[in-house]
Amino acid sequence: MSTPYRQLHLPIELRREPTLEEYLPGPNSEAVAAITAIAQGAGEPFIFVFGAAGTGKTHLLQAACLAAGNQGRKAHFLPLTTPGLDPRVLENLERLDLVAIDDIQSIVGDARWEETLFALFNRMRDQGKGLIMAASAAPDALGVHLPDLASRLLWGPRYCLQPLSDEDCACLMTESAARRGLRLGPDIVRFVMNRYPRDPASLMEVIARVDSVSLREQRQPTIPLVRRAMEPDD
Amino acid sequence: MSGISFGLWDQCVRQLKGELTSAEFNTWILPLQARVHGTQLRLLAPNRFVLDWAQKHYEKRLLDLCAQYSDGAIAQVRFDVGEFDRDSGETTAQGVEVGESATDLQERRAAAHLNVDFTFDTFVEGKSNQLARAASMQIAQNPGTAYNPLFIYGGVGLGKTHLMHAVGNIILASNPSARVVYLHSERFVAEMIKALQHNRIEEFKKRYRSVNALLIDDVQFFAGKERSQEEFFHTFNALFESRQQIVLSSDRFPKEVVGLEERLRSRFGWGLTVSIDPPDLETSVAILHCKASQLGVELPEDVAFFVGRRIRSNIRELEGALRRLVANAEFTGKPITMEFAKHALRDVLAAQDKQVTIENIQKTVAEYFKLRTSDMLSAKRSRSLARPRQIAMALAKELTKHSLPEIGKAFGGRDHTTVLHATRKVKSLRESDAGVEEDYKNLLRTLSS
Repeated sequence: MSTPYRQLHLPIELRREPTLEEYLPGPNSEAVAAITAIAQGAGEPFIFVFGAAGTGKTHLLQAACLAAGNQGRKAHFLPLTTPGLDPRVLENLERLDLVAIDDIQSIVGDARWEETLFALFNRMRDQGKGLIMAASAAPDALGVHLPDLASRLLWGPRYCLQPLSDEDCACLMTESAARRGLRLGPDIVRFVMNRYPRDPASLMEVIARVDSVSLREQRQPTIPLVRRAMEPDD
Repeated sequence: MSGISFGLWDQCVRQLKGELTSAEFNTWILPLQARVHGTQLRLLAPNRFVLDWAQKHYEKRLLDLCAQYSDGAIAQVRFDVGEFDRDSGETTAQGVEVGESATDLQERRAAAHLNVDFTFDTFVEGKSNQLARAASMQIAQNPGTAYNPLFIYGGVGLGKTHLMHAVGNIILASNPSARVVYLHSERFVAEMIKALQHNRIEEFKKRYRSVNALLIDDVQFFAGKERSQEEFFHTFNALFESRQQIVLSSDRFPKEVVGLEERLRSRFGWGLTVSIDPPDLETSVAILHCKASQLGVELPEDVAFFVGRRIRSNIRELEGALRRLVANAEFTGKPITMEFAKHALRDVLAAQDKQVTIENIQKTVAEYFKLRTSDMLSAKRSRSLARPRQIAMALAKELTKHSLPEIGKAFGGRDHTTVLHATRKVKSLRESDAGVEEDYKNLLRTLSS
């Protein structure tokens, strides 16, 4: 007796490199220009970016490091939420050309972290190296305890990343889907935008799931296919 | 260095880029430097932490990849802390010796860790810093004889470091053979620890006890570090006795620095202690003009007063705002005017990034229409309640990234189609009814300001 057979799709998903080109600037074009410049070793040596979740802070920081790396410059992306990190990870980072530190808010209030970050800031500045920091809130709204660090976070230009408009999100969704070879009609885009969170990260998650089901079923997405893709996992 | 080195590492990198998440790759692989030595791939990490992490998680995979890409020629991967010189490929030693071999002024400044931009000429004088500036100038011209030590204290970002560098720059300029060192106290501690670890403490002692001017910033960071205080105490005595200039800075008066030994605190007060206070408005404006001209920009007077009035905490924040303004002007190609400044600095001037939440929208809209917040959630459909509720829903769609089902749920468990209907209704009302348009705009302004 033959059992009902559902072909498993290969668990290979294109690893997407977060690049500067892929970031849809929308209202954040000035921040993107500043980050592109620092990645090339030009412009301001210290930049602070902040904004709500889903505005692409992590994407931009990683993209800057990759761009610097592609030009033969030594770069380091450091998300401070990585489990198991301790302040020793900041030692000697002034040896690198660009350091991008994400999630500053997660170490605020920890005296050792704040002091070590302050010391790194001074060393990077003394050596003229590039430093980007990102956090969920503006530097003066983070509640940093060490005044010496707090004032330094305000030293360079700071950019508040704004969420993309619905139109930009729809555009981003269509383009990202097209890069995966998926055709998303306006009806599908509207369907997704009306039912699911509309930040870029969530939309990319929708596309990844739709892509996976579309591959498995060997057909282009339709609204019922999207619905199936978004059903909770078993 | 072998010819296959770059090719081999590039291949490994390309492969790992595909296997790891972008965050893992950018955090642990990107900062590594690689060279091939014989049958060995040598990887240098910036510090021990990155080394341990990379070795623990990727050594085995790297060995496999090396074997594969070199046809077995590379059989070993070795991790070290350090960096390769870009050109020669040799590992470079860390740290700069104090003015030993430096020949010209520029090299001497670099060896002394002095910033050439921090001079008396670029230091804007005002009532808040007059005395500190005059005292600094005095000791810069007569090192070791005028006041020793000079202790400058004040809040963060008010110009203490600038004055210390200015002193160092003058001393070096008037006596090119003088041995000057500017150092942050934290760096003094770090160098001492390194010297202890490498059995080079005698060298460390000799280095700092033989300078002509020692400028130590933020001495409050010595607090609680007893071994460093002990060492610094002896350095201080040696320099003081041989009449070499000492300049110290701190965020508070010497006697008030907690965690410092009494013998150090009392010595810090032996010379002259001067304070720097936050600048008054006129000084802030003058600082802005000075920094703007360093950036090659002319700042209109009204804009300088506007920024100076709004940012009163410290000069770093003032400079941060100016840099943002200049970056924006360069990016947009627009001249810096009052309107432009207000727009460009809206993030900077907002006391904090106010997160707009659905609850906040409900509360604001209810207050605006003189309703209770609970009316926003109730099942009642009378027009006096339904219209504000629809406006609140439309605002929630515009100002938050919540999905329509989430918005519906937050409004008393309504369906996403209700939210969709509300947003469409409000859109058409805004076009046809000036009153609704005004209400909507007022609310939008209140919520996003």
